[in-house]
Amino acid sequence: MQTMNLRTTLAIAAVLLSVYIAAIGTGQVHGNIMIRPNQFNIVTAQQWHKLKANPEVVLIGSSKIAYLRPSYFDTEVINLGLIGNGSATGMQLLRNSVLTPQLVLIEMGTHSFQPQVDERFVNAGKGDVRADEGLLPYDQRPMAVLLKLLCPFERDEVPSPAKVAKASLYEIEHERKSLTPREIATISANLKILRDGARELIARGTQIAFISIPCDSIIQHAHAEEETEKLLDQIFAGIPIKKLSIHDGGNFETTDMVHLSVKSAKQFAKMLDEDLQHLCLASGDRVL
Amino acid sequence: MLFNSATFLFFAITVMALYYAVPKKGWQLFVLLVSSLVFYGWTQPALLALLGACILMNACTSWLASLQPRKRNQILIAATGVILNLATLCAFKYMHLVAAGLDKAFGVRLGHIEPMALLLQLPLPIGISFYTFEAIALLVDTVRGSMKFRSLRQHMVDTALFISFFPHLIAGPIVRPSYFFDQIGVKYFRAIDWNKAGEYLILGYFLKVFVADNLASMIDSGVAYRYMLSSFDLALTACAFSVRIFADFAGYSYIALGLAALFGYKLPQNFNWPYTAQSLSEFWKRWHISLSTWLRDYLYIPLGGSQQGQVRTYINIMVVMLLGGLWHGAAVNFILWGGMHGLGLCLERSLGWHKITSNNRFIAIARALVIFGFVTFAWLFFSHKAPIALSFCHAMLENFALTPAVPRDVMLIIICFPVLLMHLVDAVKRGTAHIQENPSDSARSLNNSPALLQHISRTVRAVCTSNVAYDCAMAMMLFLTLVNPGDPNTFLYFQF
Repeated sequence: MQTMNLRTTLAIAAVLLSVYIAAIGTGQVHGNIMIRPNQFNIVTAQQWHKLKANPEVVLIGSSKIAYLRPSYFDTEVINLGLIGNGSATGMQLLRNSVLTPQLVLIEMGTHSFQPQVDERFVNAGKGDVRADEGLLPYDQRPMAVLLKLLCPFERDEVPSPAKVAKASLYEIEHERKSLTPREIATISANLKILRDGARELIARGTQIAFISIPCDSIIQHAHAEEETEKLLDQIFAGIPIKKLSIHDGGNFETTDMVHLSVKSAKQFAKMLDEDLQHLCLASGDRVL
Repeated sequence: MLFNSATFLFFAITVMALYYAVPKKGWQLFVLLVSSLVFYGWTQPALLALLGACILMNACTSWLASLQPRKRNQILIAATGVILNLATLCAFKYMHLVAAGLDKAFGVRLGHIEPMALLLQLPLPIGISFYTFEAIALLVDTVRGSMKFRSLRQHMVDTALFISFFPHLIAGPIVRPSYFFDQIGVKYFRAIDWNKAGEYLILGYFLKVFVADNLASMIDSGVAYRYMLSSFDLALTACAFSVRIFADFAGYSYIALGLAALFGYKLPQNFNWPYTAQSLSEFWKRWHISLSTWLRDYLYIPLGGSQQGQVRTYINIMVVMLLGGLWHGAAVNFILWGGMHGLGLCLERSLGWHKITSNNRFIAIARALVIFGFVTFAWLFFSHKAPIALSFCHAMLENFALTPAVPRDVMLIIICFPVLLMHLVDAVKRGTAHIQENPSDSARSLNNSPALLQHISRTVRAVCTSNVAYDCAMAMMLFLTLVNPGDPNTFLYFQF
């Protein structure tokens, strides 16, 4: 029967730790001995199809956008939806590209506050837009905090009116405080990218539309969308943009999509209706 | 309070100091009891009322039952206690499932009826499944005559400690009353088995903090983005999930064993390297042992076990496995998971495979792989709703053309490797024990092998059973736990 000798074990571990600390001290090792697994979460740009310099529509957003299938469109659409990341990275990709679309549809949601992916990835979109299915690092924590802000309920929970009132984005100040200065800086940087990008595109003659697609867990929070729109108002104050939303009491009905000024609008709306259930499922019941 | 939090570390050190420093050794129980209640009520103090009621009810019922001279009266009192325990468990755990079912089938909304609405809003008390089963064991064992109580006062204290002892309160192991009651008494600091306690704690924290927590985010993202990953990636993710759930739960159990050892108590082993099992029956003798033996002793055998004909045996197995699945949670996926294991066990029994274990290493490996594949498949349904699990399997069968995400896969393999190695070492150790018990068999089989293979075999056995190698391995585990922890996650089994 094998038994551990605690003294020997601690002595060997102490030697290992000493070597490790010495390696950090001399600059041989930086931080973790292994790469952290969450650096291998997936950021994938999907369906960068129908490449054309002047597409009618460019879609920017998270996985909900990325999963939209090419077959839904009867027009020139480039999908910059990023699985595992969000609109700010998509906006950088678009600004780096040579594209001059008629309409840019930007999805707004909690994903919009995810940090930027690796600079190399953003630069990959320079010139011709092309598919890149590499695996790139991102940190999930700021998004998780934002999710908590926007959607503090458990899945399938029917929140009481008091809880809904308490859940208002602007009322959970103590949750905001849980963000570290670095995370706040990340979020601010992303918002700046979106705001500057929107201004630049409008100057180029492109229309900008924002949509907010509540996912299955968010949709239970009656005010989630209003909160997102309030946030949009704050962020994009003074910029002529359209705001669209797909929300009708939890039935995924479209209401405002007809405002889209391109001919593919109806197909787009139809597609979102049909696909949203699938998308929520595909995201593993987690909002991206 | 999580075992893997700094708060808990501070709590454990403080309690231990108080426990051994009290001037009168009789106060030790008081220190342990109060600290267990603090531990339980740390985040939701209101739950202490329920725990207190459970302790009081079971202490009184078992005491009353033990006083009855007639067996019939004993059974009547104990049965009342068991029903009350089960009613409490059902009220908290299964009311949502019943409410959803009634709403779907008949449009009856229990949430609109005042007392039910209140009940539906109550949170699931953490650990209720574990301590309810322990309480039921106390009542049943009292009737069976395996419990001897001293005085009512002492019995109250003993029962309170038995149910609330913090190392096993939230996620087991499910302890038998006679096993625990016999240990209650004065403990001395000098009597602590530091080697054993240290071994359990290092192993437990390594499995939880290094393996399970590091795998968590990769597995979650693998399931979420299943349509984007290749079949190989998905198969690997599924296998990694099996490793994760083992590491998470076994990690908790080992930490519980280590903590109990620091307070002078022994808890039963909950895991015995289950993924080397050559049959499903063997798997259930190695996985969550305290639950499977509880189900065997308090449900399967009272139902008649395997003594009442083949058909009845299959029915009993299905009942036990379905209820075992339901014990994990009030959701269809748990029932499905239990049903799959039940069917697997019935099939195995009908083919007579449950009794066979092979000493031929190739056959043993092949059988272990088949069982691992089945268990992994069932875990998909255990941990996800059926549509998600099915779409995961669908993607696994469809995405052959996609290129594997190599860096991600390598990372998964690296993190899973220590757990696989531990299973392998255990298998080698068992092989070595078999050789020592049957030297003639082993000599025959070794003589038939090539010389190089014999040499490798002997070297592997020597390394696996060497104390120095074991100390080095434990030191490496401690080192990795300290320098490369994953993002802290709650224990998966806390939800049960």
